Amino acid sequence: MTQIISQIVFNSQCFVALLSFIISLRLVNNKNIPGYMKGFYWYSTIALVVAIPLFLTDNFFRPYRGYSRILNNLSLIFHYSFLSIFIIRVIVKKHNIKYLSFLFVFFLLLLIFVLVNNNLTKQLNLAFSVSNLGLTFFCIIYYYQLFNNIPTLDLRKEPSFWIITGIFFCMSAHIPITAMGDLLNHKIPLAVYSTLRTILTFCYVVMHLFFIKAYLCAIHPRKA
Amino acid sequence: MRNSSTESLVIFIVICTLLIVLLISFVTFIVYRYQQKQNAYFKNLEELKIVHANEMLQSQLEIQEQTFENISREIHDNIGQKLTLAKLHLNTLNISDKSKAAIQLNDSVSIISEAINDLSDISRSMSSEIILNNGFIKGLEFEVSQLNKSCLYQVNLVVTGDPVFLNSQKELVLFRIIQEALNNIVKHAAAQVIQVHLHYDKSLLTLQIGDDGKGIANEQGNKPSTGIANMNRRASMLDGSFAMESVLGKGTTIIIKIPLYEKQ
Repeated sequence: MTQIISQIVFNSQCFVALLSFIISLRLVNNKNIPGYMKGFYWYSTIALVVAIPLFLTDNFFRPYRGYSRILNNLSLIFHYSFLSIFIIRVIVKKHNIKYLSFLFVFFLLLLIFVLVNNNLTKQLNLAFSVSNLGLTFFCIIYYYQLFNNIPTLDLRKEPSFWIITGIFFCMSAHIPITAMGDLLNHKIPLAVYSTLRTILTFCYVVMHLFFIKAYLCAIHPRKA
Repeated sequence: MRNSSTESLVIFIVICTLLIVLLISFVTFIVYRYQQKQNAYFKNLEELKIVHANEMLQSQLEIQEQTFENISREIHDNIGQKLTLAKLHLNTLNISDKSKAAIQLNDSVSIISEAINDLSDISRSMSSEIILNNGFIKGLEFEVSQLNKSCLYQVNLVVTGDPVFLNSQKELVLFRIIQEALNNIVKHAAAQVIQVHLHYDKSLLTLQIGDDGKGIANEQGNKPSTGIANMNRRASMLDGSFAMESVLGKGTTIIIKIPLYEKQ
């Protein structure tokens, strides 16, 4: 049963990532979208590139799962850097660019350090924790800025709000489970642990759904 | 085994539902609070606009009031005196003494001509036409020449930087500030030399008006005079700043800085 749920949720993630990628293609060369959204389709593209090998090795070529894990672990650098830079671009102000850059570099170096010093063929909970923590931090700064700036945005039609809320939801839900992942793995029944990991995959599904909402807001600012 | 699977399914459903509920609540809360803040902001902005409009109206009324006062004073102190003198000459005209009568008539004509010229100067000084037709600097030059003509003051006008044309409404308000400052100097400062310096920077116009008069005592708790308050308010109307430096016995300088371009 746990396996089935896990498989369904994982396949849903692959499907939503594919959908997100297809919709994101409409942002390419679209001059009417906000400046910060230009190039964001690359995230969905890379997410799909990472999800396809994971999907294939999970469903058809299980002996090769190690390779897709390596790709997945290494993609964390892109995932963290891309989304952090996106948030920084949205919230950037001249006076705090130094602190934001420092935070960005700090978490990036920590992430690289964790990746270099661990076996990349395994699920690296610590690396995920570091990237999630960094991104959650940037999201909190975004919300802080949102309420401290002149409130002229229509949040329901603001792509950056939906993207950052998706990231915040996914990353903050990940933190407790990835941070205690190695500990939980040995302390709780395997079925429960697998369920918790499935929940994390479910959070990615929600995040991609939020990205789709953001793409729609950017493409059709009036209808969205 | 079956129990464990069911347990996992329940855990999955419960946690996912909780997360979704949390997410919806979070998004709703953020959007709601943001909209509340937005509504308060726009309300505040609207109030500020009304206050600004009221201030503009009040300022315009004050300018009008002051203009009437100036006209009245000029007519009473200057033109009235001249016309009275002309009337006196004409009243005492003795037609039998033709040569004396001719002198008196000539005097009367020249006094009336002077009165007409003065009237024309007042009219030009009070009217905004000179600013609208010839621009701010020309208007200022005329104002300075009028004061110099009186021979009571030596007024120097210096313009540095590249002059930028402001919109006529702004130029008029600025012109009225300078008129107010010069008027204050004439009325209260007992000065001999007046310096008017206009400096056009890239984005800022600095106006400096200084005199060598008796200065203003800077006593704490003293409210600024109506004239100073007027100049300050008019500078604020142009998004500018107003500062005054005064040394007793040495004179007063006012410095006004006005942004040349409107904020985005």
